[in-house]
Amino acid sequence: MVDHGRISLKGVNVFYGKNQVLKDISLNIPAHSITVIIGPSGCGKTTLLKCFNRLLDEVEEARVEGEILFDGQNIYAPEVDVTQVRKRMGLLSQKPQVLPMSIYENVAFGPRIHGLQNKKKIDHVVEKYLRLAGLWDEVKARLSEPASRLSIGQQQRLCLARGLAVEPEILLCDEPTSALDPQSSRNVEAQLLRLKENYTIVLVTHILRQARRLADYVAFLYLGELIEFGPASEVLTSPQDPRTRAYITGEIS
Amino acid sequence: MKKEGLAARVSGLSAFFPVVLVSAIFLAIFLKALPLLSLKSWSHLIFSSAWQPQKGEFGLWPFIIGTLSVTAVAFLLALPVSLFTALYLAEYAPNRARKMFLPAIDLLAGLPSVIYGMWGMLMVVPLVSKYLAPLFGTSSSGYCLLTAGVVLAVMIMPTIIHVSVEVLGSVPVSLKEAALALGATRFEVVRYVILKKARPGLLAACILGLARAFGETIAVLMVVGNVPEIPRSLFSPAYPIPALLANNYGEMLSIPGYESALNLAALILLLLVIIFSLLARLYLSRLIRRSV
Repeated sequence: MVDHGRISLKGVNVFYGKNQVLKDISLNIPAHSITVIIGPSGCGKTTLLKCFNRLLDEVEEARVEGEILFDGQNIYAPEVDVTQVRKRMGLLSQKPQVLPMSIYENVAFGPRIHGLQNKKKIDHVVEKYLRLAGLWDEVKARLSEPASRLSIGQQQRLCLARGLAVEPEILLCDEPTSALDPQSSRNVEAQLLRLKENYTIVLVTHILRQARRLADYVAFLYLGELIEFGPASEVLTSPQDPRTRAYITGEIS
Repeated sequence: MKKEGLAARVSGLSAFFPVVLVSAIFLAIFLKALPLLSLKSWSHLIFSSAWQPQKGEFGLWPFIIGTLSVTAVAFLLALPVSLFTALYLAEYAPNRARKMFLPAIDLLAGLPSVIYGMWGMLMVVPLVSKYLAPLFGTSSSGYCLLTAGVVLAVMIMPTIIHVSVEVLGSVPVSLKEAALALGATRFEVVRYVILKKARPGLLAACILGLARAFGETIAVLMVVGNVPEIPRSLFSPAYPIPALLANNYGEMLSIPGYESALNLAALILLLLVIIFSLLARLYLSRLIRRSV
């Protein structure tokens, strides 16, 4: 048995009230690679991402059916501790959301709430992940400043460092460069490409060129349905479904 | 271009209006208070506890302490309840509950204060005199500092709650999600992220509540006892400045110096409110500057 899907979705339906936004999604997301979810806006990309770390739990009218298996365990099983699920998946959102505290504390926040207290160890963790996110040299002299003083691009890399500091296995990225300038976008993309060796990355984007630059696998969502999934080279260059082709050639957006 | 100039000038003048009005009120009260100030020193009038208008003794200290203590008791009672209610409504309550509670709370904010006064006399006064005071081994008529504090607390809570709910609601959902995504529990998100982000706004909510508490007159006057002494305990009567003014202004003004003394009391009340709101504003702006 080849179990290379770290996350597998089996018949996932999501409803907002009576409105079905995801329809019977089944998908295996391979480990240590970048899976890019593309599709026109409103197709359910972000919702799909929020299923993975159960952020949909916070949306009162949202209901999830089906199974999402993470290393073989259904994360929607009743006995699952949702904070543990989330700890194993880092999130990078559209706009960087720095916590209202210092640069240092932003990175230390995750490890602290999960029980790390030793000052030296926290120092070490903060430096390690700021380096991993490619931000250390820019901020090492001003770690105690409020994180909100960083530029927006730096904030996004801080969010990356903060997410990595809880030592997740998966990184969920929701259009992580949409608020950034081209230079900062390239910077974040470069970090993601470096990180895929050790992490499984799921990235939502509406920028096809970004998908081309980053994707190992591509999933195309349209009106809540998974239309096509496969290696990037296949889906992006010779799509099987006419709807995928239409999206990639820019006929639907 | 010309029209714009006119609009700017008109709105500029209107902006001046409140400033002029406040200054005029201040000046009128100050001029009325002046005769007494020429007879006795500021410090004597403020710090003396002797209030015997017939004998020409106008010590305002009991009233100042009355004002401060009623406000403090009300604020200390209202603050925790309001903040927890607001937190519940903003962070934990299902949408349906929120939609039911908020209008009800707004309704409470709009009730005439005399209704609160009557509620205090009907319910809180007996409760305090029959049950609470004996529980603490003392006796009380029920018309006391504690009763006034409770009534006033209930009156300022809707304001604090409403503003706090709005403030908490303005914390971006994606910020909460960012913290949750790190594996934080709901409580940790509230404790370390939401409360921190919302702190300046919550403080502003408290200032609004406090400002209302300082000036509230009728409801307090109905239950506070109105005895011009410094209250010895929560169960003693007090006499805050607004009650003093409402009870006496316009009557017995034939007593020499009396009107002047009441005006001085009004002036002190104004100064107290202004000093408090200035301090609060100062603190608020520092808080905002630091969090930027």
